[in-house]
Amino acid sequence: MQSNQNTYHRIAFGVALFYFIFWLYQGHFLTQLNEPTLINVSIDNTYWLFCMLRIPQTIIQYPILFDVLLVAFTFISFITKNKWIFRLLFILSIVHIITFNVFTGLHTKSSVFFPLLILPFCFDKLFELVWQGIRYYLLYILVSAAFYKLLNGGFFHPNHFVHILENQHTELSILNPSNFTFLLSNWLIQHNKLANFAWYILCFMEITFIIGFFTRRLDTFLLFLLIAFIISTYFLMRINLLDFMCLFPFLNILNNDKKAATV
Amino acid sequence: MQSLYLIRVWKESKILFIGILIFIFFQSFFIIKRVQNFPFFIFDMYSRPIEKQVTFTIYEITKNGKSFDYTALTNTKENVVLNSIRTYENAKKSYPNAPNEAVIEHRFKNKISAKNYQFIKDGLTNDKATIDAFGNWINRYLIKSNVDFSIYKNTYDFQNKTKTDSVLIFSKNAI
Repeated sequence: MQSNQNTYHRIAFGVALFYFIFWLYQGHFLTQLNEPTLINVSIDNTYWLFCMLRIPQTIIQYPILFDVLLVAFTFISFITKNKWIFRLLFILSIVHIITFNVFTGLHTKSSVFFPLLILPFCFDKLFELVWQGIRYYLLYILVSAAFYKLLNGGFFHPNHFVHILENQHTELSILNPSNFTFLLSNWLIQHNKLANFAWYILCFMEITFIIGFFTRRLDTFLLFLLIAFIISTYFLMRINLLDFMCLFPFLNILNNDKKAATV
Repeated sequence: MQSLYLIRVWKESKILFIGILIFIFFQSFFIIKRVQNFPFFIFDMYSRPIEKQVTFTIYEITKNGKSFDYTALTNTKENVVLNSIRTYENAKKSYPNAPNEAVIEHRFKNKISAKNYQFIKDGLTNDKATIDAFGNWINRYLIKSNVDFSIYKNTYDFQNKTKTDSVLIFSKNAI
Protein backbone atom coordinates (compact mmCIF):
# COMPACT_ATOMS: atom_id res chain seq x y z
CA MET A 1 0.00 0.00 0.00
CA GLN A 2 2.88 2.34 0.85
CA SER A 3 4.41 1.94 -2.63
CA ASN A 4 1.00 2.68 -4.14
CA GLN A 5 0.69 5.77 -1.98
CA ASN A 6 4.09 6.96 -3.23
CA THR A 7 2.98 6.46 -6.81
CA TYR A 8 -0.27 8.32 -6.11
CA HIS A 9 1.86 11.14 -4.65
CA ARG A 10 3.88 11.41 -7.84
CA ILE A 11 0.82 11.27 -10.12
CA ALA A 12 -1.10 13.84 -8.05
CA PHE A 13 1.94 16.13 -7.88
CA GLY A 14 2.32 15.95 -11.66
CA VAL A 15 -1.36 16.77 -12.15
CA ALA A 16 -1.13 19.69 -9.68
CA LEU A 17 1.85 21.18 -11.53
CA PHE A 18 0.14 20.76 -14.90
CA TYR A 19 -2.98 22.35 -13.42
CA PHE A 20 -0.97 25.39 -12.32
CA ILE A 21 0.48 25.74 -15.84
CA PHE A 22 -3.09 25.59 -17.13
CA TRP A 23 -4.07 28.27 -14.57
CA LEU A 24 -1.17 30.47 -15.65
CA TYR A 25 -2.22 30.17 -19.30
CA GLN A 26 -5.89 30.80 -18.51
CA GLY A 27 -5.20 33.72 -16.16
CA HIS A 28 -6.43 32.04 -13.01
CA PHE A 29 -3.86 33.33 -10.51
CA LEU A 30 -4.96 36.25 -8.34
CA THR A 31 -2.06 38.39 -9.56
CA GLN A 32 -3.36 38.04 -13.11
CA LEU A 33 -6.63 39.72 -12.12
CA ASN A 34 -4.94 43.14 -11.87
CA GLU A 35 -6.50 44.26 -8.58
CA PRO A 36 -10.22 43.69 -9.20
CA THR A 37 -12.71 45.79 -7.26
CA LEU A 38 -16.24 44.41 -7.62
CA ILE A 39 -17.40 41.41 -5.63
CA ASN A 40 -20.22 39.05 -6.57
CA VAL A 41 -21.34 36.62 -3.87
CA SER A 42 -24.39 35.32 -5.74
CA ILE A 43 -26.53 33.14 -3.45
CA ASP A 44 -23.71 30.82 -2.38
CA ASN A 45 -23.78 30.60 1.43
CA THR A 46 -20.07 29.72 1.64
CA TYR A 47 -19.16 32.84 -0.35
CA TRP A 48 -21.44 34.88 1.91
CA LEU A 49 -19.68 33.57 5.00
CA PHE A 50 -16.21 34.23 3.58
CA CYS A 51 -17.15 37.77 2.52
CA MET A 52 -18.86 38.56 5.84
CA LEU A 53 -15.57 37.61 7.50
CA ARG A 54 -13.74 39.81 4.91
CA ILE A 55 -11.47 36.92 3.89
CA PRO A 56 -11.48 37.44 0.07
CA GLN A 57 -11.34 41.22 0.56
CA THR A 58 -8.15 40.77 2.63
CA ILE A 59 -6.53 38.12 0.41
CA ILE A 60 -6.97 40.19 -2.77
CA GLN A 61 -4.78 42.91 -1.28
CA TYR A 62 -1.82 40.49 -1.31
CA PRO A 63 -2.33 38.56 -4.57
CA ILE A 64 1.35 37.75 -5.22
CA LEU A 65 1.83 36.50 -1.68
CA PHE A 66 -1.11 34.09 -1.88
CA ASP A 67 -0.22 32.87 -5.38
CA VAL A 68 3.33 32.16 -4.25
CA LEU A 69 2.09 30.52 -1.04
CA LEU A 70 -0.24 28.23 -2.98
CA VAL A 71 2.46 27.06 -5.38
CA ALA A 72 5.13 26.85 -2.65
CA PHE A 73 2.88 24.84 -0.32
CA THR A 74 2.09 22.47 -3.20
CA PHE A 75 5.81 21.81 -3.75
CA ILE A 76 6.61 21.54 -0.03
CA SER A 77 3.67 19.26 0.78
CA PHE A 78 4.30 16.81 -2.06
CA ILE A 79 8.06 16.76 -1.36
CA THR A 80 7.79 16.38 2.43
CA LYS A 81 4.60 14.24 2.27
CA ASN A 82 3.61 15.76 5.59
CA LYS A 83 -0.13 15.52 6.24
CA TRP A 84 -0.18 18.80 8.20
CA ILE A 85 1.34 20.73 5.29
CA PHE A 86 -1.20 19.07 3.01
CA ARG A 87 -3.93 20.24 5.39
CA LEU A 88 -2.64 23.80 5.19
CA LEU A 89 -2.50 23.50 1.40
CA PHE A 90 -6.08 22.21 1.39
CA ILE A 91 -7.31 25.27 3.32
CA LEU A 92 -5.15 27.64 1.28
CA SER A 93 -6.50 26.25 -2.00
CA ILE A 94 -10.11 26.73 -0.86
CA VAL A 95 -9.44 30.32 0.23
CA HIS A 96 -7.62 31.04 -3.05
CA ILE A 97 -10.42 29.60 -5.20
CA ILE A 98 -13.20 31.38 -3.31
CA THR A 99 -11.32 34.69 -3.52
CA PHE A 100 -10.92 34.27 -7.28
CA ASN A 101 -14.58 33.33 -7.75
CA VAL A 102 -15.90 36.17 -5.58
CA PHE A 103 -13.87 38.84 -7.40
CA THR A 104 -14.67 37.58 -10.88
CA GLY A 105 -18.31 36.58 -10.48
CA LEU A 106 -17.10 33.34 -12.06
CA HIS A 107 -18.69 30.75 -9.85
CA THR A 108 -17.18 27.75 -11.56
CA LYS A 109 -18.69 24.68 -9.93
CA SER A 110 -15.74 22.45 -10.80
CA SER A 111 -13.22 24.67 -8.99
CA VAL A 112 -13.74 22.37 -5.98
CA PHE A 113 -11.75 19.64 -7.74
CA PHE A 114 -8.30 20.98 -6.87
CA PRO A 115 -8.91 20.79 -3.09
CA LEU A 116 -10.32 17.29 -3.68
CA LEU A 117 -7.01 16.28 -5.29
CA ILE A 118 -5.24 17.37 -2.09
CA LEU A 119 -7.73 15.87 0.38
CA PRO A 120 -6.58 12.20 0.54
CA PHE A 121 -3.01 13.27 1.36
CA CYS A 122 -4.31 15.05 4.47
CA PHE A 123 -4.74 11.60 6.03
CA ASP A 124 -2.26 8.82 6.79
CA LYS A 125 -4.26 5.75 7.80
CA LEU A 126 -7.42 6.78 5.98
CA PHE A 127 -5.65 7.67 2.72
CA GLU A 128 -7.03 4.76 0.72
CA LEU A 129 -10.60 5.20 2.00
CA VAL A 130 -10.65 8.93 1.26
CA TRP A 131 -9.08 8.28 -2.15
CA GLN A 132 -11.83 5.78 -2.98
CA GLY A 133 -14.47 8.15 -1.60
CA ILE A 134 -13.40 10.89 -3.99
CA ARG A 135 -13.38 8.39 -6.84
CA TYR A 136 -17.03 7.61 -6.01
CA TYR A 137 -17.80 11.34 -5.85
CA LEU A 138 -16.36 11.82 -9.35
CA LEU A 139 -18.50 8.94 -10.63
CA TYR A 140 -21.55 10.38 -8.86
CA ILE A 141 -21.03 13.81 -10.45
CA LEU A 142 -20.91 12.39 -13.97
CA VAL A 143 -23.75 9.88 -13.54
CA SER A 144 -25.94 12.47 -11.80
CA ALA A 145 -25.49 14.78 -14.81
CA ALA A 146 -27.21 12.16 -16.96
CA PHE A 147 -29.97 11.62 -14.38
CA TYR A 148 -30.62 15.38 -14.11
CA LYS A 149 -31.18 15.46 -17.86
CA LEU A 150 -33.65 12.59 -17.59
CA LEU A 151 -35.49 13.97 -14.53
CA ASN A 152 -35.54 17.64 -15.60
CA GLY A 153 -36.70 16.87 -19.13
CA GLY A 154 -33.72 18.07 -21.13
CA PHE A 155 -32.96 14.58 -22.44
CA PHE A 156 -36.26 14.15 -24.28
CA HIS A 157 -36.80 17.78 -25.31
CA PRO A 158 -36.98 18.12 -29.12
CA ASN A 159 -33.84 19.65 -30.63
CA HIS A 160 -32.47 20.37 -27.16
CA PHE A 161 -28.85 20.17 -28.29
CA VAL A 162 -29.53 22.47 -31.26
CA HIS A 163 -30.78 25.13 -28.83
CA ILE A 164 -27.77 24.58 -26.55
CA LEU A 165 -25.41 25.03 -29.50
CA GLU A 166 -27.21 28.23 -30.52
CA ASN A 167 -26.97 29.61 -26.96
CA GLN A 168 -23.33 28.73 -26.51
CA HIS A 169 -22.21 30.42 -29.72
CA THR A 170 -24.08 33.74 -29.66
CA GLU A 171 -20.89 35.76 -29.06
CA LEU A 172 -18.97 33.91 -31.77
CA SER A 173 -21.82 34.35 -34.26
CA ILE A 174 -21.34 38.13 -34.04
CA LEU A 175 -17.68 38.62 -33.12
CA ASN A 176 -15.92 35.78 -34.91
CA PRO A 177 -18.20 33.79 -37.25
CA SER A 178 -15.20 32.15 -38.97
CA ASN A 179 -14.18 30.43 -35.73
CA PHE A 180 -13.81 26.64 -36.05
CA THR A 181 -16.10 25.75 -33.13
CA PHE A 182 -18.78 28.10 -34.46
CA LEU A 183 -18.58 26.56 -37.94
CA LEU A 184 -18.79 23.09 -36.40
CA SER A 185 -21.81 23.98 -34.27
CA ASN A 186 -23.48 25.75 -37.19
CA TRP A 187 -23.07 22.61 -39.30
CA LEU A 188 -24.64 20.54 -36.52
CA ILE A 189 -27.49 23.04 -36.11
CA GLN A 190 -28.25 22.66 -39.83
CA HIS A 191 -28.12 18.85 -39.50
CA ASN A 192 -30.31 18.59 -36.44
CA LYS A 193 -30.60 14.79 -36.58
CA LEU A 194 -26.84 14.57 -36.14
CA ALA A 195 -27.02 17.17 -33.34
CA ASN A 196 -29.65 15.07 -31.56
CA PHE A 197 -27.48 12.00 -32.03
CA ALA A 198 -24.47 13.88 -30.54
CA TRP A 199 -26.65 14.86 -27.55
CA TYR A 200 -27.62 11.23 -26.86
CA ILE A 201 -23.97 10.17 -27.21
CA LEU A 202 -22.90 12.80 -24.64
CA CYS A 203 -25.63 11.68 -22.21
CA PHE A 204 -24.67 8.05 -22.81
CA MET A 205 -21.03 8.91 -22.03
CA GLU A 206 -22.16 10.36 -18.68
CA ILE A 207 -24.34 7.39 -17.72
CA THR A 208 -21.53 4.98 -18.66
CA PHE A 209 -19.62 6.07 -15.56
CA ILE A 210 -22.15 4.06 -13.51
CA ILE A 211 -19.92 1.05 -14.34
CA GLY A 212 -17.35 2.48 -11.94
CA PHE A 213 -19.67 1.85 -8.99
CA PHE A 214 -19.50 -1.90 -9.62
CA THR A 215 -15.92 -2.47 -10.73
CA ARG A 216 -12.57 -0.71 -10.83
CA ARG A 217 -11.29 -2.90 -13.65
CA LEU A 218 -12.56 -0.47 -16.30
CA ASP A 219 -11.12 2.68 -14.76
CA THR A 220 -8.60 3.16 -17.57
CA PHE A 221 -11.47 3.02 -20.07
CA LEU A 222 -13.46 5.49 -17.94
CA LEU A 223 -10.44 7.80 -17.80
CA PHE A 224 -10.23 7.90 -21.61
CA LEU A 225 -14.01 8.34 -21.76
CA LEU A 226 -13.74 11.33 -19.42
CA ILE A 227 -10.99 12.86 -21.58
CA ALA A 228 -13.15 12.33 -24.68
CA PHE A 229 -16.10 13.95 -22.86
CA ILE A 230 -14.03 17.01 -21.90
CA ILE A 231 -12.72 17.44 -25.46
CA SER A 232 -16.23 17.02 -26.93
CA THR A 233 -17.85 19.58 -24.64
CA TYR A 234 -15.06 22.06 -25.38
CA PHE A 235 -15.21 21.80 -29.17
CA LEU A 236 -18.98 21.44 -29.42
CA MET A 237 -20.18 23.78 -26.67
CA ARG A 238 -17.18 25.95 -25.71
CA ILE A 239 -17.55 24.64 -22.15
CA ASN A 240 -14.19 24.25 -20.45
CA LEU A 241 -14.25 21.24 -18.14
CA LEU A 242 -10.48 21.00 -17.70
CA ASP A 243 -10.87 21.31 -13.91
CA PHE A 244 -11.79 17.64 -14.17
CA MET A 245 -8.09 16.92 -14.79
CA CYS A 246 -7.63 17.15 -11.01
CA LEU A 247 -9.75 14.02 -10.70
CA PHE A 248 -7.93 12.04 -13.42
CA PRO A 249 -5.64 10.29 -10.88
CA PHE A 250 -8.67 8.85 -9.08
CA LEU A 251 -9.46 6.76 -12.17
CA ASN A 252 -5.88 5.62 -12.56
CA ILE A 253 -5.81 2.14 -11.13
CA LEU A 254 -2.31 0.83 -10.57
CA ASN A 255 -1.26 -2.56 -11.93
CA ASN A 256 -0.72 -4.19 -8.56
CA ASP A 257 -4.15 -3.02 -7.46
CA LYS A 258 -5.93 -4.74 -10.30
CA LYS A 259 -6.31 -8.09 -8.57
CA ALA A 260 -8.30 -6.37 -5.88
CA ALA A 261 -10.09 -4.10 -8.25
CA THR A 262 -13.61 -4.99 -7.32
CA VAL A 263 -15.80 -2.80 -5.21
CA MET B 1 -21.62 -7.00 1.06
CA GLN B 2 -18.56 -6.99 3.34
CA SER B 3 -16.64 -4.95 0.75
CA LEU B 4 -19.27 -2.21 0.24
CA TYR B 5 -17.52 1.13 0.57
CA LEU B 6 -19.60 2.65 3.35
CA ILE B 7 -19.44 -0.56 5.40
CA ARG B 8 -15.63 -0.57 5.09
CA VAL B 9 -15.56 3.09 6.17
CA TRP B 10 -17.84 2.32 9.14
CA LYS B 11 -15.52 -0.49 10.23
CA GLU B 12 -12.29 1.49 9.85
CA SER B 13 -13.25 5.01 10.95
CA LYS B 14 -16.47 6.16 12.58
CA ILE B 15 -15.41 9.82 12.23
CA LEU B 16 -14.90 9.52 8.46
CA PHE B 17 -18.22 7.67 8.20
CA ILE B 18 -20.04 10.51 9.98
CA GLY B 19 -18.16 13.06 7.85
CA ILE B 20 -19.33 11.32 4.67
CA LEU B 21 -22.94 11.16 5.94
CA ILE B 22 -22.85 14.91 6.71
CA PHE B 23 -21.49 15.57 3.21
CA ILE B 24 -24.24 13.42 1.65
CA PHE B 25 -26.86 15.26 3.75
CA PHE B 26 -25.73 18.71 2.59
CA GLN B 27 -25.28 17.53 -1.01
CA SER B 28 -28.89 16.24 -0.96
CA PHE B 29 -30.13 19.40 0.78
CA PHE B 30 -28.67 21.70 -1.87
CA ILE B 31 -29.92 19.47 -4.68
CA ILE B 32 -33.46 19.75 -3.27
CA LYS B 33 -33.06 23.53 -2.75
CA ARG B 34 -31.51 23.78 -6.25
CA VAL B 35 -28.76 26.03 -4.91
CA GLN B 36 -25.11 25.90 -5.91
CA ASN B 37 -23.15 26.06 -2.71
CA PHE B 38 -19.39 25.54 -2.53
CA PRO B 39 -18.15 22.77 -2.22
CA PHE B 40 -21.31 20.82 -3.09
CA PHE B 41 -21.19 20.20 -6.82
CA ILE B 42 -24.49 19.99 -8.73
CA PHE B 43 -23.78 19.11 -12.37
CA ASP B 44 -27.21 19.94 -13.80
CA MET B 45 -26.18 22.33 -16.52
CA TYR B 46 -28.51 22.26 -19.55
CA SER B 47 -30.63 19.54 -17.95
CA ARG B 48 -33.85 21.55 -18.31
CA PRO B 49 -35.67 22.10 -21.61
CA ILE B 50 -34.52 25.11 -23.64
CA GLU B 51 -36.80 26.73 -26.18
CA LYS B 52 -35.63 28.36 -29.37
CA GLN B 53 -34.98 32.04 -28.74
CA VAL B 54 -36.21 34.90 -30.89
CA THR B 55 -33.48 37.33 -29.80
CA PHE B 56 -30.22 37.14 -27.91
CA THR B 57 -28.11 39.67 -26.04
CA ILE B 58 -24.32 39.95 -25.90
CA TYR B 59 -21.88 42.55 -24.64
CA GLU B 60 -19.87 44.51 -27.20
CA ILE B 61 -16.59 46.14 -26.22
CA THR B 62 -15.26 48.81 -28.54
CA LYS B 63 -11.72 50.23 -28.56
CA ASN B 64 -11.40 53.50 -30.47
CA GLY B 65 -14.80 52.74 -32.01
CA LYS B 66 -13.77 49.28 -33.27
CA SER B 67 -15.34 46.11 -31.91
CA PHE B 68 -12.99 44.02 -29.77
CA ASP B 69 -13.14 40.22 -30.20
CA TYR B 70 -13.06 38.96 -26.62
CA THR B 71 -13.82 35.40 -27.78
CA ALA B 72 -10.14 35.23 -28.76
CA LEU B 73 -9.18 35.49 -25.08
CA THR B 74 -8.64 32.38 -22.97
CA ASN B 75 -11.82 30.77 -21.71
CA THR B 76 -11.27 31.99 -18.13
CA LYS B 77 -10.35 35.53 -19.15
CA GLU B 78 -13.37 35.83 -21.44
CA ASN B 79 -15.64 34.67 -18.61
CA VAL B 80 -13.98 37.03 -16.11
CA VAL B 81 -14.57 39.98 -18.46
CA LEU B 82 -18.21 39.09 -19.18
CA ASN B 83 -19.12 38.25 -15.58
CA SER B 84 -17.46 41.41 -14.27
CA ILE B 85 -19.36 43.54 -16.79
CA ARG B 86 -22.58 41.81 -15.68
CA THR B 87 -21.74 42.47 -12.00
CA TYR B 88 -21.01 46.14 -12.81
CA GLU B 89 -24.20 46.52 -14.83
CA ASN B 90 -26.35 45.04 -12.05
CA ALA B 91 -24.62 47.06 -9.31
CA LYS B 92 -25.03 50.30 -11.28
CA LYS B 93 -28.64 49.57 -12.20
CA SER B 94 -29.76 48.92 -8.64
CA TYR B 95 -27.64 51.65 -7.00
CA PRO B 96 -28.00 53.04 -4.27
CA ASN B 97 -29.36 49.60 -3.31
CA ALA B 98 -27.32 46.46 -3.87
CA PRO B 99 -28.68 43.80 -6.26
CA ASN B 100 -28.81 41.31 -3.34
CA GLU B 101 -30.08 43.82 -0.77
CA ALA B 102 -33.54 42.24 -0.45
CA VAL B 103 -32.00 38.84 0.34
CA ILE B 104 -29.63 40.36 2.92
CA GLU B 105 -32.56 42.19 4.56
CA HIS B 106 -34.67 39.04 4.60
CA ARG B 107 -31.89 37.05 6.25
CA PHE B 108 -30.49 39.54 8.75
CA LYS B 109 -32.52 42.73 9.22
CA ASN B 110 -34.14 43.07 12.66
CA LYS B 111 -32.57 39.76 13.66
CA ILE B 112 -29.23 41.27 14.70
CA SER B 113 -28.13 44.70 15.91
CA ALA B 114 -28.07 47.58 13.43
CA LYS B 115 -24.29 47.81 13.76
CA ASN B 116 -23.78 44.11 12.98
CA TYR B 117 -26.29 44.29 10.13
CA GLN B 118 -24.36 47.14 8.54
CA PHE B 119 -21.09 45.21 8.95
CA ILE B 120 -22.55 42.15 7.19
CA LYS B 121 -24.13 44.24 4.45
CA ASP B 122 -20.86 46.06 3.77
CA GLY B 123 -19.09 42.73 3.40
CA LEU B 124 -21.59 41.42 0.83
CA THR B 125 -22.12 44.47 -1.37
CA ASN B 126 -20.16 46.89 -3.54
CA ASP B 127 -19.98 50.52 -2.41
CA LYS B 128 -19.94 53.48 -4.81
CA ALA B 129 -16.15 53.72 -4.83
CA THR B 130 -15.73 50.11 -5.96
CA ILE B 131 -18.43 50.48 -8.62
CA ASP B 132 -16.75 53.64 -9.92
CA ALA B 133 -13.36 51.88 -9.94
CA PHE B 134 -14.64 49.32 -12.48
CA GLY B 135 -13.54 51.44 -15.46
CA ASN B 136 -9.94 51.64 -14.27
CA TRP B 137 -9.92 47.92 -13.54
CA ILE B 138 -11.17 46.86 -16.98
CA ASN B 139 -8.61 49.20 -18.49
CA ARG B 140 -5.84 47.48 -16.50
CA TYR B 141 -7.19 43.99 -17.13
CA LEU B 142 -8.28 44.10 -20.75
CA ILE B 143 -7.77 47.33 -22.66
CA LYS B 144 -4.19 48.00 -21.44
CA SER B 145 -3.77 51.25 -23.36
CA ASN B 146 -4.86 54.86 -23.21
CA VAL B 147 -7.66 54.74 -25.79
CA ASP B 148 -11.39 55.49 -25.88
CA PHE B 149 -13.36 52.39 -25.01
CA SER B 150 -17.03 51.60 -24.46
CA ILE B 151 -19.15 48.65 -23.44
CA TYR B 152 -22.58 48.09 -24.96
CA LYS B 153 -25.29 45.55 -24.36
CA ASN B 154 -26.59 44.65 -27.80
CA THR B 155 -29.67 42.68 -28.71
CA TYR B 156 -29.77 40.73 -31.98
CA ASP B 157 -32.41 38.91 -33.94
CA PHE B 158 -31.60 35.19 -33.71
CA GLN B 159 -32.53 34.38 -37.29
CA ASN B 160 -30.68 37.00 -39.32
CA LYS B 161 -28.24 38.28 -36.64
CA THR B 162 -29.27 41.92 -37.13
CA LYS B 163 -28.88 44.33 -34.21
CA THR B 164 -32.25 45.38 -32.82
CA ASP B 165 -31.17 47.30 -29.70
CA SER B 166 -28.02 48.73 -28.13
CA VAL B 167 -27.58 50.09 -24.59
CA LEU B 168 -24.42 51.85 -23.42
CA ILE B 169 -23.15 50.23 -20.22
CA PHE B 170 -19.87 52.05 -19.78
CA SER B 171 -17.75 54.57 -21.64
CA LYS B 172 -14.32 56.03 -21.00
CA ASN B 173 -12.43 58.56 -23.04
CA ALA B 174 -8.66 58.52 -23.46
CA ILE B 175 -6.87 61.01 -21.19
